[in-house]
Order: sequence, then C-alpha cells, then structure tokens
Amino acid sequence: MWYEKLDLDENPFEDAENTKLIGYDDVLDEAFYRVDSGGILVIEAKKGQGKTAILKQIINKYQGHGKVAYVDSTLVVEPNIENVIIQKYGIMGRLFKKMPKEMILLIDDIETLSEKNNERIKFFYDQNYIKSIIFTTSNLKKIKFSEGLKQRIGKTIKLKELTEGDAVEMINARIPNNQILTEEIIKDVFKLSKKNPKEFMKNSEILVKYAVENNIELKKEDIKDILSGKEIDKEEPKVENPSEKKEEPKTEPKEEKKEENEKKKEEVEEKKEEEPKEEIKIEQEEKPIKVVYEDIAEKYY
Amino acid sequence: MELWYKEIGFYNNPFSIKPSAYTDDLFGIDTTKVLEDISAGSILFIEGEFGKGKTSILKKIINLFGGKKKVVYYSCNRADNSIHVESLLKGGRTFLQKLFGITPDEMIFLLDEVTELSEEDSEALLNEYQKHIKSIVMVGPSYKKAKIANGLKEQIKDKVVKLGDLKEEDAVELIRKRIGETELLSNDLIKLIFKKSKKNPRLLLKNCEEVCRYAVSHGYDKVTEDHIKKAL
Repeated sequence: MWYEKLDLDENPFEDAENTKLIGYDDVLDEAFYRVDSGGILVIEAKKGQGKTAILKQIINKYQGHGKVAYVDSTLVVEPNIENVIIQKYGIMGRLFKKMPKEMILLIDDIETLSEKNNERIKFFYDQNYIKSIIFTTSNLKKIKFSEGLKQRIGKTIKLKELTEGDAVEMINARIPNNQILTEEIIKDVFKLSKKNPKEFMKNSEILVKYAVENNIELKKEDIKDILSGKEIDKEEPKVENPSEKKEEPKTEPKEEKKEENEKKKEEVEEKKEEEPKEEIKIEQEEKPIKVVYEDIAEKYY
Repeated sequence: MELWYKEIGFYNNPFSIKPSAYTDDLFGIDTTKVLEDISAGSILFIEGEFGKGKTSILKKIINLFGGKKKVVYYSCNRADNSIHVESLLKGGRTFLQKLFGITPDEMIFLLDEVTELSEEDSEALLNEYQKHIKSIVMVGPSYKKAKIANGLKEQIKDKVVKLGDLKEEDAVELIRKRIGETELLSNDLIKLIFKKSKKNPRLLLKNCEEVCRYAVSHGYDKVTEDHIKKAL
C-alpha cells in the first residue's frame, strides 16, 4: 500500500480512533463538559467541517456499558428516539421496555425534529433517562426545536473556520517527518479546498499518494493538475482510491493504456475521471458514519 | 481538565436545570396549598412560562403521591390526536407511569404542556373524574390561552395557580440551597447575576453555572464582577 512507503501501517488520511482533532480543542472541551454536567449542546457547522469527527471523539471517551447512543440523521430521517435509547439499553430495554438511565444521546447532522421527538427528548432528559445531548447540524434555523427544548439547550456553538496553521498541523500530525507536502503546498491545497477540512484531507491524500506512488517531488505548479487528474509527467496519475478499483470497471482500461500515446489519452481520461470522482466523494462521506454506527452495534448487541 | 464543581466538592452539577435533580426548591408558588387541593380532589391549572418550575412541581407531585401506582403523567405535546383517557388509566401507553392492570381509584392525573384540549378529551376526563380519577392537575404556559371545554373550566373555577416571578431573596435562597455556603459565589454576586436572568429560575441557574465555571477554570477561588461580565 502506498502509505507503507512512508512507514505507516494505516492510511494516514482516514480517521482512526485516536486521531487528534486539530483546531477544535475548545469545542471538544465544551462538549465534554456538557456531557459530564448533564447539559445539551448544539454544534453548527457546514458540511465537511468535522461535526462527525467531534462526535467520534465523544464516543471514544464515553463509550461502554451501552451509555452512548449515536444517531446519524442522514441514515434514518426521523428515528423514534424512544426506540433508539431502548435499543441501546440492550436486552433489558427490549424485553422489559425498561427505561435506561443517564444515557448520552448524540444526534448527528440533524435537519428537522418532529413534535413527538421534541417531546420525547425533553421528557427523557428531564427524567434523566438521557443525561446529556449533543446535536450537530449544518443549519440551526431549519430545525424546529420546541420552546421547552430550546430553553433547555445549554449552549450553541458555531465551528470556526480552520486556519492555514491548523492545516499544516493536521498534515504533520498524520504524517510524521512529512517531507512530501511543504508548508507552502499545504496552504495552497487548503485554499483550493475552500478551507473545508474534509475536502482538504481528500486532496492531500490524492497528492501524497501520487507523490509516493510515482516517486516524485511535488511542485507547487503541478498541484492543480494532479488534483484534476491531468498527468504531469510520463507516468499516469492514479486518482482513485485503491478500494475504488474493485468497483469501477472503468479503471482497468486505463492501466493498460500506460504505454500508449499520452497526448491522446489526456482528454479521454479527464472525462472518465470526472465521474468516478463524484462517487469517491459519496463513498468517503458514508464510510466514517457507517463504521461508527456498526462498531457500537457490534459491541452492545 | 477537572470539572469546576468537582473542584469545590460536588459530584454532580449543582446548577443542573433538570427538574428531577433537586425538587426542594420551588419558589413563587404555595406548594402546600397545591398539594392540599390535590388531596382534596380538585381540578387545578398551574400556569407558568418556561423555566419557572412547571415540570419541577409535577415531579414533586409524582414523588409525594406515591409514584407509579397513584399518578398518571401525560404530556399533551406528544398527542397524536386525543388523549384516550381510559387507556391511560389502564396503562395502555408505554410512556407513562404505568398502572398495573386494574384501574384503581383515586388516581391523580397530570397533564403537562396543556395548550388545547378537545371536547372529546375534556368529556372523557370529566367522566372519569370522581370515579377513578381523584384529582386532575393541568400545567401549561397560559390558562387564558388554553382551549379547554367549559365543563372543565367550571370545575377548575378559581383554582388557577400562577408560578410567580422569582424575587431577589428567593434567588439567593435558591442558589444557596444548591451550592451551600461556599465562598465561591457571594450573595451580592448572586443578586447581580439575578438581574441578568429576567427573573427566570432556569436562566438564573444557567447563568450561575457559566459564571462559576468561568471563574474556576481560570484558576480563581471566588467569582468576581469581572467574571460575570466576561462569562455572560
């Protein structure tokens, strides 16, 4: 695997359990406080800024004994919250419909909240079946919190934008002794990624992988080309993730074309590579969420 | 980082806004009278804006009147359509304090978040009243604005209890009951925070929490006026 050339066992751009979150220390502190003190927190942030990553850190810290219930609102549009926490409580809950105590409820990427769920959440929270709640959302105004629930919310945080310095720190934290991405390049990529952490991670991975696999030194002028799939030297740029090759039949003809005339291939490849790129995006967004959900499920059922 | 309240010797957040946390501090209401009225079998309406103690007083009633077997709690916000009084009494719904099979007498019916009650529901309640239901306590933001059938209103008559505004002395007492005599927060400062809390108990608790947390996390033993300015 390409990252093995960097002496790494795992892909540094995938979030591991102990991945340190850069730039969000104060948000995490606030979240941990709300969980410990029995409060309700709402985190507002655009897509790809790190909402799920923050919740993952909370799961890491507080998981155990069926205490944390994580709901991904993109997977289930309006779950019945009562079922969620009874399910999490395991056998006791399902057999005896017994109510759990002091659960931590994490609702990720919420867009709407029905009246019923508003009331259920408020009731469970008041009775301390739920100890604390953290909501994340990309649009706070759209969610209809009931007045009662709104009044119980301890704090609302809007995630601030990461800085260039944060971007540099992120790369150095993931790749020890990083010599592939210079500070200048990192800042450029960060700008190209519109300062969105997820985009930035994706683009950084493309670049590092390209550099490692083709054994070249990255130059500032080449970055845009590499990211858009154009080739910059004799060898072909491979834009897709290794896992994608299994699902995308289109990649196979490309590998065979390596030795053929390059100029003709440029245009053909650009068109083909546009489609898989979109699919990459979707897959990468889904994977981290599913993994977390399943992990919890495995442990507690 | 150590939790601020653990540093002053508390295991749990003393300023918790959950009604289940501390139920011995209800201000602006004559709880004794309310409990007497319930024992005597009345229908009352307790009105109060958010954060004044509606759910807290319901919790107190539940605790005092024997918990599950005697009290039915229902929150009207969750209503699909009507309340189904009978099945509530028989414990048909999952959400509630369940009654065990039989329909005992002398039940106390608590209705939370009452803004509108259909004719059907009002009738059902009146039907069961003085049979299986001993007393009904309705809680809501406003009695005037609540749409309740006349039959019920006649039974309520003047038993409308209003959760009053918090007074300054009450505020101090409330906070002292929570954190004891600790020097962290002086009575004068409590009054200052109170001024910024719109006479609302919940807001007062929230603000005190923010201020104390701010002070302790910045390494101070006592809260100062400066902390209040910065934290709130």
